[in-house]
Amino acid sequence: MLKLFYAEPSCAAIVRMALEEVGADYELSRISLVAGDQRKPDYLALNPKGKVPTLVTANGVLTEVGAILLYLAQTFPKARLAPLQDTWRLARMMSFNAFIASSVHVILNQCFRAEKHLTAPASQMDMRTKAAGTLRDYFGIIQTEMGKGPWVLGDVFSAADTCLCFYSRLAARFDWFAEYPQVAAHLTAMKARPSYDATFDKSFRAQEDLFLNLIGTYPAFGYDVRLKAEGGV
Amino acid sequence: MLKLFFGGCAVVSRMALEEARVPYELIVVSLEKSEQRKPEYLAINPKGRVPALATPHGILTENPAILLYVALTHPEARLAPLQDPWRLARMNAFNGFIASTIHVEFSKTGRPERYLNTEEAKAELRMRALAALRGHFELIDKELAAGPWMLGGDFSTADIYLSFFSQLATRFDWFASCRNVAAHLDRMKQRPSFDASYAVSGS
Repeated sequence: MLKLFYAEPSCAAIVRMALEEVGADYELSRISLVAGDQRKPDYLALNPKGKVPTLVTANGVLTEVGAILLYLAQTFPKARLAPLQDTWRLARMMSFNAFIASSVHVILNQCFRAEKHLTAPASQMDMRTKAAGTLRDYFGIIQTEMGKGPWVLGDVFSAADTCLCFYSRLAARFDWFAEYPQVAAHLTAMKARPSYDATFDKSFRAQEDLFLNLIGTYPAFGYDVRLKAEGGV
Repeated sequence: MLKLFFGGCAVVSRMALEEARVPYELIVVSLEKSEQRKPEYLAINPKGRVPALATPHGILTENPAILLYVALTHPEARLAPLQDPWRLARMNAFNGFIASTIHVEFSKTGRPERYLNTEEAKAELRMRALAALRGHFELIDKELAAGPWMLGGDFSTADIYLSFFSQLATRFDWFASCRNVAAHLDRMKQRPSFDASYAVSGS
């Protein structure tokens, strides 16, 4: 059985959603990022990078969302989580997931967790302000890449959709999110999938609310993110 | 023929094309002149970054995706363990780590203005990124202990991707202490693709 080292709220939710999509038999091992579990020796022995997600497979330990998503798609081919027979579309899926991981995730983290990156309050505010603007630009790029949709790759659902969905949920807290109707429609479509409720369950939402309440009054966001309902749309 | 829009870390994609002996046309995008921000380039890649690979199907961006695409379209070059999903996943995990962590830390050291406006904040970001990079390279050094390549006995795109950032890291005084990484870079430099990927005709 696959074992996912998991934290709420974190991008490990993307992997959970993919596990749900492929119908895998999996076990969650919850760790607390707030308590610093990811930096404890037993976790570092598993994943020296000290991050989630970490997926324990029969072959060994696998990290990085983009890699895990393709691995699940390949080992559960019937679930059609990736266009495995179409090299070009597969490359586009990898490209999208890489952009999410190396750009969108990085900027979202700076936006919401600036205190992790910088010490002085003024510097943290600088980071949040700049990151909030960049995040908005990135969603413009995502909308362009999606084209007509309804899915990231067009008419075929893929792991790129589970990946985007996690970030759209958070972006939906910003008032500019409505400027990207295709992305908003995509989030609505994702919400109709059983994997969505299974992943963003009561426990996830409670942890997410706690987290957002901590950061909710950052003036850099231009308004209080708590004011917007979860999912936003 | 494939066209590679080239500059900065596009060396990585180019090295894969060289390794696979794929004919390609090189189009230099001058980052110094901010050509990646000009409308004609943004029409090709709205992200305003390099690399971008123009293929018969369309434009492909992001190094980890281009690396996999070259490996998939040129299986005879053996740039990825295509028949083994587990090893392929390990390659992709490493490439993902390079793209979303190592590259990002280098961006913070070299272009902190991408993330911040104030000088005090930029100085701290740069300082922390330098320390983080050392930790990351020490981790990679351990992973390379078995060697000679990132996946062990078989060369893959992960080696290409690492070599670009190892080369950048040679300027740090701690680099030599990452002996496995340094030896890996030496091995990479012996491959004809290495020098070929940095060369720009006329310069």
